[in-house]
This record gives sequence, C-alpha cells and structure tokens, in this order.
Amino acid sequence: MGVLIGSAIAIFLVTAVVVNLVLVLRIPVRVMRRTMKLYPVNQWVFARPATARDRAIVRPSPDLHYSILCYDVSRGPLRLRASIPEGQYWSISGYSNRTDNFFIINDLQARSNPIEVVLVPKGARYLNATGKAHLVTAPSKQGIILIRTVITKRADLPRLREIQRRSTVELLEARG
Amino acid sequence: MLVWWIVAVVIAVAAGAAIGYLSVGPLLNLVTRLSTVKNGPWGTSLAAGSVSANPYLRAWIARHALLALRKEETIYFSAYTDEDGQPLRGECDYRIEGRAPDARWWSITAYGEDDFLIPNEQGRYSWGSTEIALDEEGRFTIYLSRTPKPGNWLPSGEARRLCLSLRLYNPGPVYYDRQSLKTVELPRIIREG
Repeated sequence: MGVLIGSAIAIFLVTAVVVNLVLVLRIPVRVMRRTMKLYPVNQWVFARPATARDRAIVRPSPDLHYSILCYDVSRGPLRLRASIPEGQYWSISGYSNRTDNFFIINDLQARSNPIEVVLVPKGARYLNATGKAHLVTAPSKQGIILIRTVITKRADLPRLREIQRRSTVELLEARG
Repeated sequence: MLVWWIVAVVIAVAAGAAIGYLSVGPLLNLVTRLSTVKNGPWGTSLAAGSVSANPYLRAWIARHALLALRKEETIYFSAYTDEDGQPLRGECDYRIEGRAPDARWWSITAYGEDDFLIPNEQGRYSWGSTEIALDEEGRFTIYLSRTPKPGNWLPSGEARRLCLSLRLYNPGPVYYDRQSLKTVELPRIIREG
C-alpha cells in the first residue's frame, strides 16, 4: 500500500508540474495569436492615439502614436519602409509569436530616413545591396511590428498621421 | 490490487491536472513578484520583453503588459500601492510628486484593474515630460483623484483599483544598475484622503 500511495503522490506532482508548465508556455502564444487576428497580415494599420475605448491591447500608452503590422514571413522576407518625424522619440520594434521583443531601432539609431528594415525568415538570405537597410532575422514566421511615435502636442497629430501613412511593406522573393 | 492502482493513478492525474491549472495565476504573480526590483511602491522587471525572460514572467507580460520593449530601450515601473503599501483605490485622492526622471521621454499613466485606460470626460489618461508643468527645481506634482484638482490632474474616473505605469524611454545609466534601481529617486505616491 505504501508503494501505491508513494507512486500516486509522485504521479500527482509530475502531472501538476507538467500541466502548469504547458499552460504557462502556451499563454504568450495564445495571447499573440488572439491579438494578431485583430489585424490584417502584412499590412500597416495606423492607429489613432489610445483612449479608454481601446480594449484590444492591454496598457496602451495614450502619449504614443502606434502603427501596427502583423507580419508573416513564411513566403519570403518583408521590406518595411517608414518615415521618421524629426524632433521627437520614434522607434520600430519587432515581437515574436511568443512576445519576445527581438529588435528595436529608434530614431537616433536609424541609418536613413525613411528607414528601411528587411525582415528575413530564419534560414533565408537577403542581399543588402545599398547597405542602408537594417537586416533583422525573424525568430518566428508570424509576429508583430510596432512603430511608436511620441505625441509632443495634440496640434501635431495631423503632421504625425501624414508621416505615419507613408509607411510601406513589400514582400520580397525568397532565396536560399 | 490492479483496480486500486488504476483508481489511484486516475485520481492522481486528475488532481495533479486540477492543481496545475489552478496554480497558473498565483504562480505567475509569485514568480513575477520575485523577479521584480522594488523601489518604494514602484517595481520593475529588467527581463520584461527579453528573450531571457523566464516562462512565468513572459506569460505575465503577455497578460498585463503585452508588447513591452526590452530594457535597452525602455524601463517600465508599475505601482499598485501608495507609499504606505496600501492598494491604490479609485475613491482616494493621491499626490504623485517627484523630480523629472533622467530619460529622453517619460510618462505616468493610470490604468484600471483591467489594465486599460480609465474612462473620464477630460480624456486625460497620463502626464508626461512633453507637457507636464515643472517647478523651478524641476519637480512636478500630479493629482490622482476622481474630483478636479488644479494643475496636473489625473482623473481616476469610476475605477475601483488603480495601477500606475511609469515609462522611461532611453533612460539614464542609473536605471540599468540593479542596486541603484532600488535607491534612485522615483515619484512618491502619497494618499491625501
């Protein structure tokens, strides 16, 4: 009977740990999948400054102008171009399908304006002919790209929106 | 005897699965709290957004701070209590005062217990370095309250529990050292009534 009880306790503990860890590991993937379903794939979405009505993504900053792109590099690299407004904080960042922030480039680090970022799937190659592009390897085929621009004053919003709308995305041919 | 073994295994698996499931939320909070650097009512995790974040912190971030930037770019502090350790409540008035943090851009935002911005007629959800009024010594005061206050008023609307988020974009080096993070001056959150 002692062996039976000991074995049952061991099975109980192992099951509890495994179930807990599996569920925890799935949370970021599920949250990202749910979030990405809200937006079109490989297409910029230009959000208005967040208000209390925005319930898609937790803890939005009301002081930032966001551009969101749900990327999918399964068919090849993506070339992203975006204009950077002068005089305020700006950044472009990438998040894998498990929420990791795998790259971040701000206005002070950008090699050019407009900035050019080429998102390359794992194992693929891209020839950076001009040398101006920021080459970034995507750790997952799907994920999110986010552009943040600080809104310094509300009167500046039309100018920021005009700059924001110049952002483009282009699917490139895969090699290798 | 075989029947006893089958019954024991089934009960052990079912109970283990239930405990594993029910302990997800508490364990996320516990592990996140243990990996948080505290400074008064404020707390931050330097692994937020990072590839090196442990699974529990990553899951907590996914639920409560999705799309956070890693520390090289931004440090996020959260406060759920006032200076006395009491939970931030919507019906109370608070004075948030301090020196402008050393960062390229910073802001303090109020959220409800659901982690979303708090509805208010003024459409005011935050105060940041681009618009906040500072005194001659570079200090500021924000009033977090349901009722209007002169100066930098941050309405708490009808929210019951509150959370404050302090964002530091491109912060100074003092915020990158684990020891100095515990002592660097951060805004004080004082309950007034």
